[in-house]
Amino acid sequence: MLGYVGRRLRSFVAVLFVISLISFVLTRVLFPSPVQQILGGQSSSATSAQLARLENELGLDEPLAVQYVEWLGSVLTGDLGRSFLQPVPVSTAILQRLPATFEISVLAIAFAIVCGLVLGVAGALRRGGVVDALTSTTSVVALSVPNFFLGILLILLFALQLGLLPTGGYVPFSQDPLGNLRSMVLPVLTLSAAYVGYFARFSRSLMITVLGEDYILRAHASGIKPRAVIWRHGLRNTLLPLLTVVGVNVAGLVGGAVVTETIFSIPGVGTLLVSSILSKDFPVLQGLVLVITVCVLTINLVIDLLYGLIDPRVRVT
Amino acid sequence: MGPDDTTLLDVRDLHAVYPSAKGTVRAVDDISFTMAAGEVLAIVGESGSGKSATALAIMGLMHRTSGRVVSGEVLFDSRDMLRLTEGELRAIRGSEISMIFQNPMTALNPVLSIGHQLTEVVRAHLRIGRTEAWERAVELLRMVEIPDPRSRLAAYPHQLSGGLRQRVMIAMALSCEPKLLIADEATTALDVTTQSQILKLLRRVTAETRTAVIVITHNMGVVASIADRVAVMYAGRIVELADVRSIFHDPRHPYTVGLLGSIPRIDGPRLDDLVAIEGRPPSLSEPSRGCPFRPRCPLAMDMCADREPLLEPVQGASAHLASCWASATDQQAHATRSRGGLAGPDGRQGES
Repeated sequence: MLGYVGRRLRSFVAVLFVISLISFVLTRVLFPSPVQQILGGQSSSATSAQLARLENELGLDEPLAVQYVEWLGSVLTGDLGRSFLQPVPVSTAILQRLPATFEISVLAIAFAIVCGLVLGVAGALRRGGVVDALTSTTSVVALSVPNFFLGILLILLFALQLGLLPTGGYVPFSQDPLGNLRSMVLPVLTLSAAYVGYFARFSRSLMITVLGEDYILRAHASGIKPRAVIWRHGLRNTLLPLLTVVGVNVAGLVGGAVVTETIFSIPGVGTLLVSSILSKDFPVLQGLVLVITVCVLTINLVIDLLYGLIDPRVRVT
Repeated sequence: MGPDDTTLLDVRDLHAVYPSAKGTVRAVDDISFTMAAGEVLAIVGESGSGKSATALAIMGLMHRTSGRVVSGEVLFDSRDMLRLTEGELRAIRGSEISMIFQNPMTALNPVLSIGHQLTEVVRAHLRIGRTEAWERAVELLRMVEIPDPRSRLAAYPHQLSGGLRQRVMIAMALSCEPKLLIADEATTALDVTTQSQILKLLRRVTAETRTAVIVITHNMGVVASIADRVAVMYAGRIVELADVRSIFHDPRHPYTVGLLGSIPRIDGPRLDDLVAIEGRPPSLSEPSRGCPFRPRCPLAMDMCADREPLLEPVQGASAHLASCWASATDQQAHATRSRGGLAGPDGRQGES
């Protein structure tokens, strides 16, 4: 078990290194001269001497390889650098934004798993019936509605027409628990919709396959209650592959978070990512990519370990 | 053997179908037979002849495989299984009638331990606690000769060999001391040495507990070694029903003769080639006329094309039933039998 985690951690570090290299090179290639922007863009009156001085101050006039090694060195000591634009360290800027994104993502994935399973299993059990038609339609709709469109619709209906929920913004849970949850409802629905649809379709077809297995017929032949057959024998074998699919989709969640946070003007990692790209704030951008990569890799590792807990066949010794 | 007070199972005019793209498939076509308590009945026939469907219909499980019983009665202990509620059936399944499946690799849930699955069945039918059920499971594994039963209970299916898994399935099937055990191709998926061990085990434990057994197989060797009586199925019908001796020594249906002719023997006179039955079974989704075996039958006569023969007692033996115009009318059947060059199973008494 420890050996397995050790091996996983080694590849973890390797992936992290490659990602850091790619993000570094990409930012430099895409934005060859960020200082112009920092000093006010094309229309700024900064002289070339000023530009050169700033470039030198930020270390941007050094060869790329030197810049990368210096950056990597400080990252390894825990220093992600300072933002070009804000007077704060990158780590502080990211840490301020993490809780909101973390909360939305966890709630959205949890909601998608529960909702998707319920819809999918209900459809599989009533295959070909009215329930199946309803749940299948729901999941296809949830899967196909673009999240920016869904978000705007939800704001129109629940916030503007009915006035039940806030249109956006974020209140930390510690300050106002109820207000926090109220502000989370619409973003979570928006972010999870596609996953609800996807997980529902996936678990429906999985459950149908599982229900056709010999051990299900055998359980019925042993006089086990149908409810127990479904829960003990069916669901457990459905959860396993679903878990893998969830893990794969966690990475894609970041993209959804960007859109959702923008629509609901939530100060999260997604909006920070966008603003750092638009303002060519290299240190923030690179730091964010690293942090996001660490999160995704960690979640995948946790899921693989969980898998071993549920499925004895992959239990590592 | 007519229905009397020891009759355990009385299947009457059972008709079951599966839906298919080409229409309804008549998987079981009006079959009738009875079984006495403690009797071992073999149902033989090729793939698709309706053996497994018969078993599922008896268990009341056709609907779990998308099939449907159209008509008939399955009287088990004088209760009609086809008229019971799902709850009543559930109390019988796994307890009074139980079933062993063909493939022990897939009939056990891969993510639950052996002990979990065994005790689950025990506790579904007997009112006992967790620890007691666990002790019962240990006892059951010991009965099916699994060494070190206590530690095996903690194992998962993938950690056991095919033979061990089938032993677990037998233990599970016998866990509530059923009156009837249905073994559907229980040895087919195993290698040959394991087959004979499992067969021996089945014979021993069912004889000890006086459990009636329906052995579903296409292997005449299995039939010879375990059965008291044999029902030969073809195209969803029983075409011959007799005690095991008569089936091997005096088969009356040309299909039975053909089946026996296709067994390789190492102790009999050596034949140049194994005799195969020419042709293929008829499609069961189209309505048929006459005898379903006619296109493949060496004895086919004009009347076979028009009228379907009924399963009736053959001359001189009331317990030997066959559905064949040729064997019912003249001596031609005897001629075929000698041509097949068949010898019955030696060494085993076929009394029932």
